[in-house]
Amino acid sequence: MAYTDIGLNYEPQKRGAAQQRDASLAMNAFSRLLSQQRGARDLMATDKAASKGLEGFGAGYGKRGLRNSGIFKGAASDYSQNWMSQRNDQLDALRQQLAQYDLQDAQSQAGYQDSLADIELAKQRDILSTAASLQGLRPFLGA
Amino acid sequence: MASADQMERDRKRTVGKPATTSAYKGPSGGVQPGFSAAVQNVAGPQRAANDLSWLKDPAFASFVEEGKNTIVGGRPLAGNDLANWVRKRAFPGGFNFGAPTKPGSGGGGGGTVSTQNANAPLMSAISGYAKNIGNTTGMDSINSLFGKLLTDIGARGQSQQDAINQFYGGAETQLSGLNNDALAMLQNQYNQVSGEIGTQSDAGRATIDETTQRALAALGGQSNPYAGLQMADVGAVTDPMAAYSQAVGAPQGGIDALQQMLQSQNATTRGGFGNLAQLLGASNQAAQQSRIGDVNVARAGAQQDLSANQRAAALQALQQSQTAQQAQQGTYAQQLLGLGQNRLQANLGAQQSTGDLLSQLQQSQLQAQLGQQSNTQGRQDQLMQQLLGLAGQGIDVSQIMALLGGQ
Repeated sequence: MAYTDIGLNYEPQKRGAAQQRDASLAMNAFSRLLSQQRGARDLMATDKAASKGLEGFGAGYGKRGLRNSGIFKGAASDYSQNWMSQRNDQLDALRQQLAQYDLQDAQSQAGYQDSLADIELAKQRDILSTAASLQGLRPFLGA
Repeated sequence: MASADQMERDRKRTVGKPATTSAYKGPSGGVQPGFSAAVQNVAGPQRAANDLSWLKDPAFASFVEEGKNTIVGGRPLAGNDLANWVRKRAFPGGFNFGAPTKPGSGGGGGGTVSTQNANAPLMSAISGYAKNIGNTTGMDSINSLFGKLLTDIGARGQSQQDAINQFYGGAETQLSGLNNDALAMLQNQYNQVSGEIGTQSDAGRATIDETTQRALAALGGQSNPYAGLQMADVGAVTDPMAAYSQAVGAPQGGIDALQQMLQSQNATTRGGFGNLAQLLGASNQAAQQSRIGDVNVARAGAQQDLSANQRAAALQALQQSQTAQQAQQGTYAQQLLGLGQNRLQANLGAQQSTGDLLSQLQQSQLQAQLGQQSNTQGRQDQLMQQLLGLAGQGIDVSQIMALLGGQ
């Protein structure tokens, strides 16, 4: 096989791998964007709901004259913990999703590099085989 | 047929005796009886000078013929020997050439017949004529002529041989030159192929090295795709209603405990993701190192293959060259053999032709010599017959002898 043929055989494979990687990265970036927007909305909704609930929470205990009671203070502590916990869960979920997208980007890049490395290896073997076979001597030797 | 000894005995027995007309008593038996009388009769003095018809006498001719058929000393009688023999045979009573006689004194006795006046001149004439007859001029001319012809044929044969040798020598030289050219061309082709094998091998090694370096550079240039991969740090967990809680005097113990727990949980999650990224990166780097190892192994294998192919190509080229050279040598040997065979045939043909010519020439020379000898012998015999016949008739042959050069 001529060296020119070797180059023509493997360059399309390289382009295909790069195209597949780029498509994966683009799709991942868009998914990341959607995930970020969704996470932000969920977090805002949680904060908004918790804030509105907090306004009614104090007034309710005040009507019943329990504003300074231990029950109210305990309930306020529970409310705070629930809100903090729910908010942390949402942030953590968003963070994990973003990390997942980062991982997918890295895997796409790793896959591309693997493909590229395999293509380079196969190309090198073809070139080595051609070079070692002394093909240019065949017309002289009648092989 | 009578032998010479027997004739000599007969001669001695009759010497000094008168010639008779009785039958000859010699051992030959076939002698014409009364020959002397017959001679005397036909040789009458008055006719003898002009009449030589007696030479045709069958009796005398039979003597001559008998003498020619007599073997003495391993060969037939000829010349003077034949003359003497005929004389003795025809004149058994004796014939003295040296004794003077008178015409007619014999009275037909015959036994003492002799010439009247010229026995000695007769001998001289006979000797002179015999000498002339024995002259080797003719034979010398024959030998000289044939010697020249032999020399000429030999020269022609040698010239033809030289031409053949020159032609085939030139052809052999030319063929040798062509063979040397062909061998040189084959050697040149082999040298070119050998040089090309070296060039191709060097180019192959350079290609192997360059390709390997490029592969190693490509693999080494790849970054770790998992490097820097980590979960986002959202910072410390905070109480979203901390101010309110503090304002209403809510207990902080539970809040703080939850805050710390969530903080720790977040850190653990982030750390776990970091470990995952590290493992994936290490795996990626291991695969990359493995590929680098493959590249080096492939390089070593290719170099070995190249060396093996180079040796095989060199061996193949050598075998092809040797085969071609052997074929060329074989062709040359066959052509040389063909030339040699043709040369040998041409030489043999030329030698045969020259030999045939020489043989024919020698046969012709021999025939010419025999013809010359035969003519000489014939003339001698004829002379003897004539002179003896004349003398036997008592005729004066002095004029004839003078004509023949005698005295």
